[in-house]
Amino acid sequence: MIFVTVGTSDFDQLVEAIDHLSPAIDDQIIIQIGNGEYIPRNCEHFCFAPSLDSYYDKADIVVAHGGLGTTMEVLAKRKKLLSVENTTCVDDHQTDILGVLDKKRHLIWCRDLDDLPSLLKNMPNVTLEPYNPPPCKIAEVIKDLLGKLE
Amino acid sequence: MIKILVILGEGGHTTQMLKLVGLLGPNYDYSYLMPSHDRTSEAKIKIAGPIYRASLPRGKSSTLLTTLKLSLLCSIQELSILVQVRPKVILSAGAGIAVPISILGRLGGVKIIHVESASRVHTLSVTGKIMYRIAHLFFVQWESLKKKCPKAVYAGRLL
Repeated sequence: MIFVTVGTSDFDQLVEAIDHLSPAIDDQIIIQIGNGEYIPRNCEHFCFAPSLDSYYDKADIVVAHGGLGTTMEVLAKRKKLLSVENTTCVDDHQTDILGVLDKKRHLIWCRDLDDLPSLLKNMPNVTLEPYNPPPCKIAEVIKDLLGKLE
Repeated sequence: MIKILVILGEGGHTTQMLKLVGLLGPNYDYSYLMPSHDRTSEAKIKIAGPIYRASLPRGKSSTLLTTLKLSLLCSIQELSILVQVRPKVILSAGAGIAVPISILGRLGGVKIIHVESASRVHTLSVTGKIMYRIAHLFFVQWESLKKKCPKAVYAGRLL
């Protein structure tokens, strides 16, 4: 199964592109469309779910918007991820992170929706590196500061 | 118990903040602030606390005038929340909704802690640039960013 997710925002261009591609793809596709207005005609879809875990678990390939929360969630689940940059976002904030993760081969970065069909078709053949975040001491540093406030 | 106002900025901002709250643990008194339209953050809260909502200080593609209006509206709502909660600490990872309340809080003697989103690898976000000046403690989550922000602390990554 191919699971497509746009996260908490909307990304109609991605949903529409996948919907058009879907008849030519020999696999089940489920799309989470968020606040989007485009309603897919060819694919199973829903707006939001309390948790996307069950969809991730069933998916062989995840196609997602480039938001950090979604990206890290999928990488933590060790799923093959095709990240599509949503260039309508404030600050172009997806470019920075997707660039690094693509360079380190943790995901495939789709910068332009025109490249989506070929990148998606090739996903079953790609091998990706598992992502492991570095140890995090942020909470310890904060607890130290809070300890001084008491 | 120290009262902490946690800013949930939706999407990945919320994910990072709630991960951090989980790491800090239950020995603090948490309140939460999230955007009015946010449909997903509330259900993800694990350590319960009162929830407040405010409108966003800027839209996706707004003009300077609309941004000023939106910021003013957001600031008024957030000032009222600040007075109700009276936190000792404001903890945020963005987005824009964190800015007015952090400026107001700083003026009122609240400690400001900001974690720049892990989505920023080489440059600070607009929110980050402002928070860098306001925060008492400012984290970046990539070492590459630390070089550009000498005052920032790098202590690993939440995600």
